[in-house]
Amino acid sequence: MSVGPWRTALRALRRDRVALGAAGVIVVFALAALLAPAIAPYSPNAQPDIVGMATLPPSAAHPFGTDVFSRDVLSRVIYGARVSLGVAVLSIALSMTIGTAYGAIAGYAGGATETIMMRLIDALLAIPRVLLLILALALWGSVGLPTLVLMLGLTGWFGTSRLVRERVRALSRGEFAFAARALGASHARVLWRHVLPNALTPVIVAATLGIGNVIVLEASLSYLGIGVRPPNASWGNIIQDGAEAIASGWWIALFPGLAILVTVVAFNLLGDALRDALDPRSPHA
Amino acid sequence: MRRLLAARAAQSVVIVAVVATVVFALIHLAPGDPFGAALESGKVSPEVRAEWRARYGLDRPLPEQYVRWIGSVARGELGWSFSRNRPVASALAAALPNTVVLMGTALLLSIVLGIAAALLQASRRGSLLDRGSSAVLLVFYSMPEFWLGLMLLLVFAYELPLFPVSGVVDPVVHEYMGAWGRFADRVRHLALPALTLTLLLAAAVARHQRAALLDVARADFTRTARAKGLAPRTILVRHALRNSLGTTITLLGLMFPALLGGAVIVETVFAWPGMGSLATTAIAQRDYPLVTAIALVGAVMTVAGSLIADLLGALADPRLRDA
Amino acid sequence: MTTRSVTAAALLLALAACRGGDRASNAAGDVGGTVVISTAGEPDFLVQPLILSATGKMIADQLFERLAEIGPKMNAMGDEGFEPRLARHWTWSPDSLSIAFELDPRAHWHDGKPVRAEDVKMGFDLLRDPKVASPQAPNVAEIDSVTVRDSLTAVAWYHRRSLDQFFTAAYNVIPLPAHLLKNVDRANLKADPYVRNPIGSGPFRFVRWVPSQLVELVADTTYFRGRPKLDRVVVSIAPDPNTAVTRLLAGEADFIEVLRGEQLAQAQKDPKLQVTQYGGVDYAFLQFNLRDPKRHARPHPVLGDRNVRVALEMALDRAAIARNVYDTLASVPFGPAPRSLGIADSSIRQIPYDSAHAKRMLDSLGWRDTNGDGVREKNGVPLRFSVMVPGSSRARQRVAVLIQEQLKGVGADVTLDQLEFNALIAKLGSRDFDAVINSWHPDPTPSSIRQTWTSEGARTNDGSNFGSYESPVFDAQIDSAVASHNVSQARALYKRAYQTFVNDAPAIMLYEPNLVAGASRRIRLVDLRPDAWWAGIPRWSIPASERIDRDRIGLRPAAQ
Repeated sequence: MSVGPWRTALRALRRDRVALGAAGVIVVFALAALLAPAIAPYSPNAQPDIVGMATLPPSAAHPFGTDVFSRDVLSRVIYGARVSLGVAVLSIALSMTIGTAYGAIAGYAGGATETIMMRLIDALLAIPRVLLLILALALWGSVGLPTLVLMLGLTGWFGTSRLVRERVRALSRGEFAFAARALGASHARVLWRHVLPNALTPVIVAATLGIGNVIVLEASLSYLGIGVRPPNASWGNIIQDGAEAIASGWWIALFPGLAILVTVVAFNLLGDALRDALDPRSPHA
Repeated sequence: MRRLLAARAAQSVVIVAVVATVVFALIHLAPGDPFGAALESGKVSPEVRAEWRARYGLDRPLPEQYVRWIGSVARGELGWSFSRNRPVASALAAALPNTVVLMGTALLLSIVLGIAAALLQASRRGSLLDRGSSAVLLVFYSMPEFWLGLMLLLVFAYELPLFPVSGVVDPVVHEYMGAWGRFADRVRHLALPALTLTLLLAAAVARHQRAALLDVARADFTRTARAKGLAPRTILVRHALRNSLGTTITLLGLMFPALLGGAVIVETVFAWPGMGSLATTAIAQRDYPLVTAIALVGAVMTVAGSLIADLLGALADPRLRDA
Repeated sequence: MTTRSVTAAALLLALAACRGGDRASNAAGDVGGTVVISTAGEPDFLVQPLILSATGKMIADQLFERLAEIGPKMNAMGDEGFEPRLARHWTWSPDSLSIAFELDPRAHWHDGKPVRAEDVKMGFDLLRDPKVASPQAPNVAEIDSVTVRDSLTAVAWYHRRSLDQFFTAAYNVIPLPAHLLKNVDRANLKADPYVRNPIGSGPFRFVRWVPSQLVELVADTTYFRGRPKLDRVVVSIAPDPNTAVTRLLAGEADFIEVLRGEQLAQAQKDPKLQVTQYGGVDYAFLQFNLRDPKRHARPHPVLGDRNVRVALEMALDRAAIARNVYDTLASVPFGPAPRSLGIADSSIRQIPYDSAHAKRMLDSLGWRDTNGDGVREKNGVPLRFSVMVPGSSRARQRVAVLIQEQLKGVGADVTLDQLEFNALIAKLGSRDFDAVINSWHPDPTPSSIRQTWTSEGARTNDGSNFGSYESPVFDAQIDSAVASHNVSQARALYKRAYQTFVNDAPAIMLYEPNLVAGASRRIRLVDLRPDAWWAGIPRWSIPASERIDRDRIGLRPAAQ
């Protein structure tokens, strides 16, 4: 029963030229990230000449110029796609998993358990995420990539759990779940086989839109100086390197900024299209 | 309705308490203490640091500090801010109005702009204008706040020096101006940070409002109105707008924390001395009393914001009002 | 080049930079105007016993006068070169264990009351009182007490004789108004109204302090040594260094103490701005932890070996690093003291940059890359360590990335720990780190090295010798230099100690920036001292013909 809407959705997407374009852009960036060592013209961290080659404007040899350490900005943007997209995808996967599990348990359990679980979510949602992250990252002295993914994942699931809990509550009190229970299926089985698959559609949309969000968030953290650790390149990180040289080396901050913008727009377009396709009532269709 | 309000109020108190406790735990567990920076000068003796810690009760076990803190907050005492070297209440009093002005301006402007844009789009649905403006709105919606802020700074403060680069008022001349001069000085300083927040927020409002408008446009009562021969524009404004406003207001209530978060970043870019910059320095300097007090204020603002949004939403939406 | 000529050269440079100011200073019509000083970060306090921040010190120095001011040669040994301020005269006791300061009878507080000997005693007592818990207390540890001989004579009594005896009382004890502080609750001095509204004895009066925004001072026209030329000094507070600089570039501020890199280049191109080099006393270094961070009793598995540290130093092209970050405006230090103090010089033998030699040295020490991963090993231990760097300092982060790449070239693997400032301090305090990029801003007196590099600073947890460099030889050389009564002998002993330090390489000296201030062209800057650029503010001026709106406010108070 969960196959129907998916197939229609995919068919609708295939006819949506904007969605296809957005998906194409994402695929290109993902490929660049995966194949970075093969396509990047230079090593992203090599400093060929820190006195003579620092902050060179774009040229044939360095299409995006060089940064203050004489590193090639194009290579860093390509490698940066790895970190930025990787961090975003992994942390979204983590937060969607936690949010779905939490929301499903709360929605299915109902009663006092549900109330307590959801009040906690209300409180956590009341703290601005940026501040929560600044606070949480202060716990760790130095932030490695795994910690950053963990922190972004752990602070990103509150909204999802609300979405899932609403759907699960509606579905688990529906006639179908009632019938399954009557036929002797266990709670876990009903939740896993019948309720969850149908509750997942909003999660997919939220995840797609969330990726763009996390890319921006990671960049903002780097801007505040608490993001990805050097010499690793992430888009936010490269902008931070360029921010202090903005007057004399605009290219350092411009290109990673454009990369962020294009990627996030693509994810948002795809997310919109997915929502329209999965939810036939939607006016966007 | 009254019982609902009472329940919501009780719920709000719980939320504020949980937020304060979570923040208290996080900031105390972080390494370092408020007197850490004193070490870097290489001069402060261990005895002096021990004396400072003892004086503010930081040498006691954490649970005891927590209980003492709850007690003093209950008495209305927020304590002494180590990073600002003044009572926490006075540090908050200096920062809070600035944030309220910035967020209030952005909120107001973005609601007006966002709804206007959505109406325009919905009335010419599918036209070049609709699609073009949707694209522009999506670009703003996808933009990092600090990036937009930096770009506005580059263009309007450095390249064309129309606006000041930072701060709330001119540090020198402001105090020596007349009333109008002061007002104009404030507006000039507010322009760029408020514009940054407004553009991002208006994009979100417009996207949401457009969807809500089109949603309502398909509802039965709209169809009835059309059947009665009312002009499409009248239907849009009289019926669709009124019926869809509620969801947008609710959205703004939900977005309140995100708006506060955006204000943190924007305040950093424009050196706006508000709650956001107060919070980031307080966290960095392990100013426990100030961090927890900011969390309290932030939580109260958020809870109040969502309460107001719910109430306004109920007033705006006849379906909700009758419920 | 001798010590003296280095100092003299630095001095000439500073003079050359401010020449315009000295010429114009006596011209008529240069009284008046406002200078907006852009700073990063809020001052902590404005009253001496509580101050830790440089901004607080800068403002307090305008509000409060000291007994005597250190001269332009920055000599802190003996009383040579010191200029009278509140004290018009001083007499050493025959045994040199006390100094009597005779106050200038014209000196008065901003409320009109005269400055008296009991005010000197009040200043000292507040510094020393454990209830105040002043962070500055160690600066006056050598003074036993201050007594009142008569209303205009205060006497400082010392525990022992030393070369910086005079400096300690004249520079570090700042008289405070006893008539206002007599009954103050010393344990709560921080919260006392006086601290928020200080009444001083200096060339400027306090007007207001708006948190996170500004501190405003106005000229005291009755100041006993002649009113300052400026009407008004406003300290504009920016939350970070970048914003502070942009305020100068945008014309919203008139002065900033340090410009570098891209922003310096921008200021140099701007016809409305002037830039001035004035030396500086800061020096930055890569400090190694010589002890195992997890078990302090053992030496560090990699960095405990002096030869490894020397090889690492050889692998670094420090001149290129300084060049990348500061262009031509920084030099590699000669030892653990900046050039401007006039002791460290080129006669101290340095460890040269020679990465080929560094590689051979590591080979012969048994550090070889046996598994081909690009990182050397010895007995299964890889040549790997982490370098901490504060997230708040862009310059140090930049240096860290440069060092990491250069050490990779000789097979040493460095991970960068970009730490939030407080977390970094906590780790330094508990000695839980491998290496750190740090910098010191030492006092003008060379004996301050004790707190940072001798065993004294290593043993206690809160001491500042974080790397636990404990060399009996170095300690003894410093001790005898501090105890010496003869200036030239003291210099020679300090120099020998610095040589020991360089040979042991407990830290690699990286750069000492030659600071460049940026200012509006209309301001005539005078006497930017390397350790305290603000020392000449009372003599700064703005010619009447170049004034702008904010210069014409005059002395009137703000409209309320």
